Amino acid sequence: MNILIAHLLFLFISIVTLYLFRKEKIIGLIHIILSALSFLGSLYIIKNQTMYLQNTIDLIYIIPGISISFGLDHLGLIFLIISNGLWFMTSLYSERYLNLNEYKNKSSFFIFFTFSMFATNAIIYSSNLLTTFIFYEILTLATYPLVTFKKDEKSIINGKKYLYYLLGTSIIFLLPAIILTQLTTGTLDYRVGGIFDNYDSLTISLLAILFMFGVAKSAIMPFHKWLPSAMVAPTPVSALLHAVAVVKSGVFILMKIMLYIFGVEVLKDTSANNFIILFASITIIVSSIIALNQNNIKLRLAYSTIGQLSYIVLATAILAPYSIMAATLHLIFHALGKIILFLSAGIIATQTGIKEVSEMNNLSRKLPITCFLVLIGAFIMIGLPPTVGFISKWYLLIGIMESDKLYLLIIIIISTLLNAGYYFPIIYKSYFEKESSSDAKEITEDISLVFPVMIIGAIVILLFFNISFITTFIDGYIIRK
Amino acid sequence: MSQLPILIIALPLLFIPLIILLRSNQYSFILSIIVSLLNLALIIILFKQVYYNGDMFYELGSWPAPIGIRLNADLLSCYFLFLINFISLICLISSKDLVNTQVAKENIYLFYTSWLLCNIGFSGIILTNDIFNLFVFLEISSLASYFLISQGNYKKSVLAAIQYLFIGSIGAVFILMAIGILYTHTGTLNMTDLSEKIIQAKPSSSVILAIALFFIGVAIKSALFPLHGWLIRTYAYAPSIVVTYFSGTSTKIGIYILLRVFLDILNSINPFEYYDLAQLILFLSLFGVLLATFVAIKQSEIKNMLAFSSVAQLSYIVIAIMLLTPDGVTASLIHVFNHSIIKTGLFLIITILFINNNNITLDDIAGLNSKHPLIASSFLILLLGLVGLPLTSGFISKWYLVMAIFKSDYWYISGVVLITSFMTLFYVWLLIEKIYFSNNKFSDGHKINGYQYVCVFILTGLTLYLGIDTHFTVGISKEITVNTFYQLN
Repeated sequence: MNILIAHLLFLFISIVTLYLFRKEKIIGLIHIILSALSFLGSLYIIKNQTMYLQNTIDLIYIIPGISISFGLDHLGLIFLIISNGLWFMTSLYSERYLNLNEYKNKSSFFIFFTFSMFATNAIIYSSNLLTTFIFYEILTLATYPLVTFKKDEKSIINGKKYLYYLLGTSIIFLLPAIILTQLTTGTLDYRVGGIFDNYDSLTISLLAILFMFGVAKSAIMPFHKWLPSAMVAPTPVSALLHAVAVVKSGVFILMKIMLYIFGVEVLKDTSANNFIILFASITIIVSSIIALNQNNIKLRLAYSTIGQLSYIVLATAILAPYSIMAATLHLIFHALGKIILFLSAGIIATQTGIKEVSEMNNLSRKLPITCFLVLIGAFIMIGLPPTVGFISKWYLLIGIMESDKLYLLIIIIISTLLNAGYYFPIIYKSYFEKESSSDAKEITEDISLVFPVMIIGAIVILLFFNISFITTFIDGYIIRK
Repeated sequence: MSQLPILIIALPLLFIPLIILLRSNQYSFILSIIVSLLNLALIIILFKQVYYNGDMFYELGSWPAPIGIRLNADLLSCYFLFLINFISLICLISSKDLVNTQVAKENIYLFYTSWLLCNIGFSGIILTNDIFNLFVFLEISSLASYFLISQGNYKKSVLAAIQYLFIGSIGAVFILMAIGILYTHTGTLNMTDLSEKIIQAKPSSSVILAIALFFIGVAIKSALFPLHGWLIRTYAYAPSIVVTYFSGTSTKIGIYILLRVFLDILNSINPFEYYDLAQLILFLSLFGVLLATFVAIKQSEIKNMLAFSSVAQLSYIVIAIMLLTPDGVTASLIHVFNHSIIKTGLFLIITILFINNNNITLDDIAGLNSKHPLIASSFLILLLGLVGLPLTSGFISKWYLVMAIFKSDYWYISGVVLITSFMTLFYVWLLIEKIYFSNNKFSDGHKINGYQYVCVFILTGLTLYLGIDTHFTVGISKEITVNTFYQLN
């Protein structure tokens, strides 16, 4: 049996297992074990990657000529290890987090959490647009119960917004784009170099716009509002799903569409990528300006995510080899950095009750490790050495200079300044600002909450000093394939 | 010559006197189930034979075709015949326990009699090859349905039935006049004969009049926008099990007549070309989709909401037909089947949950998940099917509809179709939020029997199955399009 199907089947059985053993006491542990197995599975797949690459399986033809089919490519391989690895880390964190915050109904949380990861992995493995679309919609539906997990007025309203934005854009833009692609090319398979043999620039431009807005999980403005809405969810959801799995699925799909549906040459030839560059640039600047004014930590992080996602989209749309390198690297690094920030924000909220940036005064004395992790995460987001954020930004700058779009340098510089503008207050306050009211309540950091985040932090630091194995992989397989 | 086509009409007719003579509530239920099962079995046999051996006909009294009356079963007939009788059977099975509370005790055996008569009418319309007989069967089904509607436990049920009677009769008269005009021009009532002779008849204003009358008659019968008023009233006041039955059948019969008469019999004179009729209907339906969707969002009564949703979905079907392309007809046929299953399922769940059949508001369904989790998840799946999310049959319909629109000259209407399809989510989510997030307790405490569970699961399962394996719907629809409507292409 094919390992990819086996992995998906395993995840599906995991959902059933969690449902059958839905006891509040043991379900967290089962969830950890299942995520660990899934992580080991993805490591195994990476180790034996040559066996599974370019080997697609058609499961069932749901429309004559178009099947649900699975396969694996190199870009998917990177996303696979990131999402499963971070799922394992988050599963360690969430069991403790849910207990400390006394959430009820933990079992349904873990069931839908696993369901979301099932959908994410299916998106990674999908080898044509229809399969991607199916699991894209399933991912939206699977995360909806997590967004509305608290079941109060606010989360229901926000959940509705979440659903309407994501389903609405996929129905109104993505579906017709897929159907139009099928009509013009006769196929929906991802293929290196694209599937358009004959094309006119009008169709390609129209499709580019439809796809860009249709994959609203990449949060390109003006269809980004769902992401701040989703922040009502418990922190592990915001961390893993709305900084890694869901949003990165969106970016991942857009990257695959640009590289494997349109193809670099077609996009360059028709200049359709300019639309994507334009909207991504606007998103980068506007989201950063909005983030400046957010006092709520999670909301500020959410708007930061919107901007960072557009970095990845922008970098891909520039279509220079080094910018694609930057995009792929940032896909990894932003995931690592943002999950650190979100999980730390969760620790801060759980242990001190602080949810606003303005309350973070001198927090580093109470929570030294957490604040140091926040520091690392913020450095990645701004792109400062010695963190990996610097590397991806470096490649992006080279990529821009490689292409003829030098004016984009201005966008990058402004946005870097803005990033610094909204991350430095967090760092400054937590390290240097004096506490206004001195309630000297002693808090010891909960080590089982901090531990998974520390591991991610350590990985990030180690990666900075040994990045070549990733860059050679991307260079060899994704850019020059 | 096979006896199958006539058996499908005659068999229930043989059972009806038995039911009337026995006058037993219980036996009438059992006999109706038996005859429906037998009928469905016959239809499946007929379907298979037609699929493998081609069209099948039966001449009544062995009188040859143009003079005698002929029944003709082609793939189009079998497709609709199967759908209608399948839904009838499902509704009959789940009517156990329900009918007792919704229909007066002394009328129950008449209720089942009318039900069977109504279904005979539907089957007759589909099978007949004689245009006057089509009218006769239409009247049989209409008369039976007046009785079925009037059995509701509302004061207004009788009024709704009478309104339906008046409007239905107007529609029938229109159709009758159209048939008369066509007869004076061609001298024949046999459909096959008519379609050949109508070419020789000079295209005069009276033929155009006949087309217009026929279309309005059919539009009334199938509740096409803007002639859908009776459907809303009927759905509100009829016994809910009858509504469930009609939601999947009676409007679809209208679609069948539309397809058969306008795209098959009269196809040779291109009836929709006069005064750009197709375009007019297309844009009316487009407006209808928009309006019905908006109104559905505003409804607080669930049956009304679903009724307006039906108007919107029917308009999609008509839009697909009015594209006048092979892809359009295929899309409409696929959607007829998928929508029937989904809508019947939705109404069925409402019916079995609220047997009192009072006004069922959104608040009444609140908290359903904690009381009947399985029914709630079925409802969820059916609603997602209505929106047309992937892995449900609604998605397949939408895929082919949008595809057909893109391929046609009217590609620009795809925007409206997609936006309204998204707006479906607005009213669907009102229901889902009530079911899953409300703190209210679900109040109706009566038991749902096993048969009803099975029926709901069958329809839900079909919604999922037809969204994954489309060999039946897509395959047959494409075959019908090629065989019946676009032989030359």
